[in-house]
Amino acid sequence: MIKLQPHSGLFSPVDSTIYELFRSKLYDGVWFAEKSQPDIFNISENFKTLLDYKPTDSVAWNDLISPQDLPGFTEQIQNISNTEYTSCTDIRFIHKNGNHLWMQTHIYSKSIPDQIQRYVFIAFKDITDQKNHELKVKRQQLRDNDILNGSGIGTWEYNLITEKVVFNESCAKIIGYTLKELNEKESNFWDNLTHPDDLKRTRHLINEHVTQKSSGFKNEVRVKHKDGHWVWVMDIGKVLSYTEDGQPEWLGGIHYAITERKNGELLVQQYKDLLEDVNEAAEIGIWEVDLKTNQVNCSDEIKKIFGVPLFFDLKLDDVVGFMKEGKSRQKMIDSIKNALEEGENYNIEIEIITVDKKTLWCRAIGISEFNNGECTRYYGFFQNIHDKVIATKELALKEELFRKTFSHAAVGMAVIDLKGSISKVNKSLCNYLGYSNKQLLEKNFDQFSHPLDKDLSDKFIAELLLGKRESFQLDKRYIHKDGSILWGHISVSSVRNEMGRITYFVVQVQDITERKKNELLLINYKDLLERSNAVAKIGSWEIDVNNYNVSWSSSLNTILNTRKDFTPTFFEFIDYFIAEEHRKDAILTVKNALEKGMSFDIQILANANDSDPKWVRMIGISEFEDNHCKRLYGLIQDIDAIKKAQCEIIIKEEQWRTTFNHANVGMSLINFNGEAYKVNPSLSDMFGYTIKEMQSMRIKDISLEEDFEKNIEMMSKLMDGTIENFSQEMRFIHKNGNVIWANVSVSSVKNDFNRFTHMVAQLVDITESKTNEILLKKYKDLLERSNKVAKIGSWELNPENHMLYWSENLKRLLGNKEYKAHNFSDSIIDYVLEENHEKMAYLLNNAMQNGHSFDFELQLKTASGLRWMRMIGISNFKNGICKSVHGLVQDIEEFKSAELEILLREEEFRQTFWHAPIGMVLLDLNGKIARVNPGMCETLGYSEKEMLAINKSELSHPDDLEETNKLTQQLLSGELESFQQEKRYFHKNGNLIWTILSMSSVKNDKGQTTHFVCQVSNITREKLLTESLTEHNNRLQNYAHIVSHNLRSHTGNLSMLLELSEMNHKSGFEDELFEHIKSASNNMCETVNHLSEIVEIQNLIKNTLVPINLRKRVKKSLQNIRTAVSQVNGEVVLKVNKELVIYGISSYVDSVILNILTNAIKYKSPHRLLVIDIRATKIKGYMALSIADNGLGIDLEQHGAKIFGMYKTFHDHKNARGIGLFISKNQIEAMGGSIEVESQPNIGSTFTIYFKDEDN
Amino acid sequence: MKTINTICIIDDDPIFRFGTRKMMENVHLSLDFLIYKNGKEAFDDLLPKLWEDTNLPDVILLDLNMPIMDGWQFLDELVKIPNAERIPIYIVSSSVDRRDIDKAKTYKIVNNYIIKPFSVAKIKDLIEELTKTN
Repeated sequence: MIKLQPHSGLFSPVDSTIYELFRSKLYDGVWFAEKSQPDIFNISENFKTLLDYKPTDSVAWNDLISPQDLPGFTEQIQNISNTEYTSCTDIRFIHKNGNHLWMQTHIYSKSIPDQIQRYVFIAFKDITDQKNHELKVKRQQLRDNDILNGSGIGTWEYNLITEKVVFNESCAKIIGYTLKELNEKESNFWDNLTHPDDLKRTRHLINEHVTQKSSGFKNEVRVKHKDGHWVWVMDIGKVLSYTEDGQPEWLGGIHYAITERKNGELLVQQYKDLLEDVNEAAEIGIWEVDLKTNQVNCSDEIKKIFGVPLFFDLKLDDVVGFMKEGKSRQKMIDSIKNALEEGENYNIEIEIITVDKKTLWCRAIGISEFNNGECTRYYGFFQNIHDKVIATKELALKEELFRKTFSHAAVGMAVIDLKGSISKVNKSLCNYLGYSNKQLLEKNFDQFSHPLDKDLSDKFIAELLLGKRESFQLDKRYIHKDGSILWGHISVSSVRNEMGRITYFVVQVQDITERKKNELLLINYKDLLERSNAVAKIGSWEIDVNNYNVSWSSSLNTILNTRKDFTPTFFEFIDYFIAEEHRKDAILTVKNALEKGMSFDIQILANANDSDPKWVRMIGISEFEDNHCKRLYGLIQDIDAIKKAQCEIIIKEEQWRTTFNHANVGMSLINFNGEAYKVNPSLSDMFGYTIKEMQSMRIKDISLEEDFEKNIEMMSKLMDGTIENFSQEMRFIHKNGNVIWANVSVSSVKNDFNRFTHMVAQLVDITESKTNEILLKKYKDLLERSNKVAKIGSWELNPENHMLYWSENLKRLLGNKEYKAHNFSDSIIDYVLEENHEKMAYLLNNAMQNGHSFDFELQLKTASGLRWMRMIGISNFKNGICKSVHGLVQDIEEFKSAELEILLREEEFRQTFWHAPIGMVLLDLNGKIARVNPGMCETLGYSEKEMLAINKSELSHPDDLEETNKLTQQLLSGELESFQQEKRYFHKNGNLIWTILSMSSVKNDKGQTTHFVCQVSNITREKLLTESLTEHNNRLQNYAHIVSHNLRSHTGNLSMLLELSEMNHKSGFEDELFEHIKSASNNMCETVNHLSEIVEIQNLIKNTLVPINLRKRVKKSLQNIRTAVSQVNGEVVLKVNKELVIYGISSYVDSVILNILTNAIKYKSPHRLLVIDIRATKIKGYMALSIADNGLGIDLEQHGAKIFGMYKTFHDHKNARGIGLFISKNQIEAMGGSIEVESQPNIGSTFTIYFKDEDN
Repeated sequence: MKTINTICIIDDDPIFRFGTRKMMENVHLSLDFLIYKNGKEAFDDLLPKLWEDTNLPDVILLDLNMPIMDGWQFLDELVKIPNAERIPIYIVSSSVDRRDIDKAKTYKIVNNYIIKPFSVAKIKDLIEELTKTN
C-alpha cells in the first residue's frame, strides 16, 4: 500500500533534508520507501501529475517503469547496502498515454544508527527531451556512418603535425583491406599505395590548400588495391582544425572509388581516338550541312575522297555534282530531298567521280533531325567503299560462275563441310541418290556410303586435312534412296578460306554404276567358267527365287550320293545335306545372296547319303536387279578328297614343323641347287644369320674355301645316289667370319620314283669343343716355337748351390752351346758388362734371400757382340726359404735399337721444332694447341705460356676460319693428308699477319689421326709487297687508260679542226707549215692509237681464252696477204696440222700472225724470191707456231734486246714504224704465251710464237 | 630515201660540237642542230618533244664521257620512253675501250659506235647510212 501523505515526522533530520531536497523544484518527483519494505513506495503527487495521473490515483510503481528498465531498477533497490547508498541512472517510465519518459533517477539511502526505520529516497527528473535529442544525434551518427559505409565513401583524418592518419572502414574497403589491417600499417601506408604521379599532385594540392587557405582540395588518384590492381579514388579534403597558433592541425576528407567512372572516361577517350583512326583508315568522313547557307562542313577524309584541296569549301550542290550522272546522282538528289523535306534518313551506295576523273563507289549516310515538319539538323557520314564494292562485285561474279557450273554440271556435285554435312548439292547428285535437294541438305554425306566402303575415303580425307594432297579420286559405292547399290567415281577436293584453312570439301560424283555392274558380272562369269573347266567333280544348281525350289544337275546327285532323280527344295537341301555345324553359315550366306545380291564361294561339310560328311565347295552367284535377286545359281564341287588330304597334311606338317622349329639340333632341308630352302631357328642361330638370310645361303657361302670342293662332292654323291647319307665333323663359316664346327649328318630324301628330291641335314654345334681342341694344339705349337722365335731363353738358379742352369735357347741366344751349369757369379763375369756386375749379383742374391723378383734391361756379351736383353727373375719363395729362382732372358736388341732410334728421331724433331725459323704448332684433335715453338711465338708475339692458353680461333682472321675448319675436318676424315692455306692471323699487337699455313695429320701405327702438325710461315712482308705491287700496277693501268683516253679526245679534236680548216681554206693553207702541223697531228693520233691498243691488251683478262683452230687462223691471215705475196712472187709453205687447237683470242691471233707475215713481206730480201715457211709443233705444253722467212734478217747481237720494244725499227724501210712487234708481243703475252726470234742478217728470220694449248 | 633535217649532238666538248657542226654543214646543207652539253640537258629537252612527237631530231650523236649525266645514263633513261626507239642513235666517243664498245652493242637503240675523231669521211658515211636506212 502506498501512503498518500508522507509524514515528515517519520524521517530523521538527515532524511528529512534529503526528502526536502528531492521534493524541491529541482526534481520532478520523488519516491520513498522503508528499507525493510522496498517494494512499497510512496510516490509524490507531482510525479503522478508528470505521468498524467491524478494525485489521488493510487498507482503501482512497478507498472510505471518501462519493462526494459524494471529488472535493473528492482535489482538496484534490493541491492542497496546497509551503508550509505547513492546512484544515478536514466530510467524510462510509461506515461499514461503510453509514451515513454526518460527520468534521471537518483537513489539515496543512508543508515543512521539511532534511527530504527531506514528509508530509501528516489528523486526523478524528466530528461526526456535531452535524452531524445541525444539519441537522435546518436542515431544520426550511426545512420551517417551507415550511409558512408554503405555508399563506400571512406573518410579520413590526417594530423598534419603528428602525421597520424585515421581511416574508416570504407576507406579500407575501397582498396581491399579491412580497417584493422589498415590501422596496423604504418602511417604513411596510404601514401605508399598511391601512384607516385598522383601522390605528387595530391601533396601539391594539399600544400596549396593549406598555404592559400582555399576551401579545399580535390584530386583523382590511383591507389594500389590489395589484389595489386590500381583503383581510381576521388580524394577530397580540407583542413578541419587549426592549432592555437593558427597552424593547420587536422586535415580531413573523404575517399570514394571512381575507378569505373575513370575507366569509362579513359575508354571513351580511347574509343574517340580509335574512331578517328578508324575513320581515317576506313576513309569515313563526317559532314554536316549548314541549313541556312547550304554550306557542307565536311571532314578532311571526304575532301580527300573527292580529291579536292583541304581548304576547299563545298556547297551541297557541289557535292551532288560529284555524283556520277544518272542513277547515282538521281539517288543522291532524291535522298537529300527526302531528308530535308520528310526527315528521312538514308544509307545509300553511290558512284562518284573524283576531281581526277576516277570513279569510286562510296556510301553516303544521311541523318536528318526533324522537328515540327522542319529539318533542324542534317548531317551524316561518307565512306569510300570502292575497293570493297569492287571486290564484292568480282566475288559475286565468281560465285555466280561457280554456282552455274555447280548446278548445271552433269556430274553430281556437293559441297560438304569437314564433318560431312551437305551444305550445297546440285541436281545431278539429287537424281543420282534419289533424294530431293531439300532432303539432301539435311543429311550427312557419309550416310549414303555403302557400309563396306564407308572407310575407303577416310585416309584420303585425313591427308586432305593435313594438306598432304589437294584432292583425291576413287571408286566407291553408295546406296540409292530405294536401297540399290550405286557405284560412283568420286573426286574430292578441299577448299581453303582466306586464312589458308580448309573450310569445306567439294565432292564430285560420277555415276559409274552401270559400268561397275558389268565389270562385276564379267568377273563372275569368267570366274565361273574357269572353275567349271578346271575341276571335274562339279554339279550346278539354281534356286528359284519365287518358290525356293532347287534345280540341280545330275552330277550333284552323284556327289551327294542321292537318288538320280532327286531334287530337294531349298530348305530340304539345307536341312538334309548341310552338316549341322555349317548350316547356320550356309543359310546366312544364301540369305545374303537373295536379299543383298552377295555372291559367295564357301567350303562346307555336306551330308552325303549313307556315308560320312564330305567337303564340298559351294559357289553361288546372285543376279541382283532393282534391289531384288532375280536369279541365284551356282556350283557345288566335291572337294572332299582334297580337303581331307589338306587337313591331314596340315596336321602332319604341323607336327613336323614343331619338331623342326624347336629341335636343339640345327636342321635344314636342302634342295637340288644346294639351297637350304627350309631351316630351323637352331640352325640359323648356329650360323648367326636370320632364317630368311639362311635360306638364301648356298653351301659355298658357308663353306671354308678349302672345304668347298669336298662338301660339293659329298652332296653330289648324295644326289646321284652313290651314298644314302653321311655323318662327319665339318667346318663352316659363321656370319661373323668365325669358323664353326658341327657334327653333320645328311641324308637324301627320295620320292616315290626313287628320285632325289632334297636332303635333310642335321647339325650339332661342336664348335666350342673343337675350338678348344684346336686352341690347345695351337698353344702347344706356339709355345714350342715361341722361345725360338721370340728369342727367349730360360734359366734356373739353385739357391742351395748357386748353380745356374741354362735352357737350350739361352745357350743359343748367348752363343755358347757348350755351356755347363756352374756358379752364377762366373756367368755374370762372363756375360754381363762390368758396370752391371754389382747390380746383377745384388738382384740375384736379393731374389734368393728375400724372395724379390726382378725385371730389367741390360746389355749382355754374346758371341755376336753386345746385345740388349731383358732379364726377368722370379723367386719361388715359400715360408721364408727360397726354393728356386728361375727366369727368362729375352733378346730385345731390335726393340731396343728401334726405341733408341725413335728417341733420336724425337730429339731431331724436337730440335727442328724448337729451332725452326717458321712457326710450328702441334694441335690435338680438338684443335687445342699442345705444343708451340719459339718461331710461332715470335710470329704472333705471344709467349709460349700465353700461346698454350689462348683460344686458337681468336688468333685467326675470322674470314679465314671457315676455310681452315673445313680443311681440318677433311684432314680428320682422312680425305686429305695435309693442306696449305693462305691465312691471316692477328699479332698480339693487333697487326694482321699473312701466313702460309701447312697442316698435316700425324697418325699412329693403327692409322688413326692422333694430332696435327701446323707449320706457319710468315709471308706478311711478301704479301704487303705483292699488295702494293698490285696496287701500283692498277694505278699504272688506270693512268695509262686515262692518258690514252684523254689524249685521244684532244688529238681527235685537233685532227678534226685541221680537217675543217683545210676544207674551209683550201687555197690559203698550202704552205709548208700547215703540212707540218697536219703531219704532227697525224703522228700524234697514231701514237695515241697505239698507246690505247696496248692499254687495251693489258686490260684483257686471261680467262677469256677460247679454243681456236690454229690452221684456220693462219689460213685467214694468208688470205689477207695473198695479193701482196703474189706481187712479189713469193711462196708460202704451210705445215700446220688441221686438228691443232690453241687457247687464245682469235682477233689477237690473227693480228699477230698477220703482223709477222707482213713483216716478212715488208723486209724481204731484194736478192731472193720470198719463201715463208709456217709450221707448228707441240713443245713443253705449248703450241709453237714458227714462221720463217728468207728475208733481210735482223742483227740480233746488235738489236736483240730491243727487237720487241716500242718504236724500234731495224731497217731503213719507209714503212717501218717499230710498233707492230711491240703490240704483237703484248698480245701474245696477254694470251699467256711468248714469242721468240732467231735471225741472221741476210739469211732470214724465224719467229716462234708459243700459244697456250689445251693441256695448259 | 629519208631526208635529214635535224641533228642532235650531245657532247661536253665544245670543240667537238663546233667541229662536228661545221663539218656537217659542209657535207649536208640546210641542217638544224639540237646541241646539248650533257645527257641531262638533252634528256630534259627531248622528253617533251618525244611526248608531243614533234621537232624530233633525225639522229642523235651521243658522247659517253660527260658530266652530270653520261651517255650510258642517258641511254638508260631514253629506253624507257616508248617513242624514243625511232630516233637512230650513234655513239661518238673517243673511247676505244673494248668494254665500252661491247656495252654499246647491248643497247638496241644504238645504231653504231663511231670512234673519234670525227672526219668528213665518217660524216659522209653516216649521212649515207641514215638516208638509206629508211
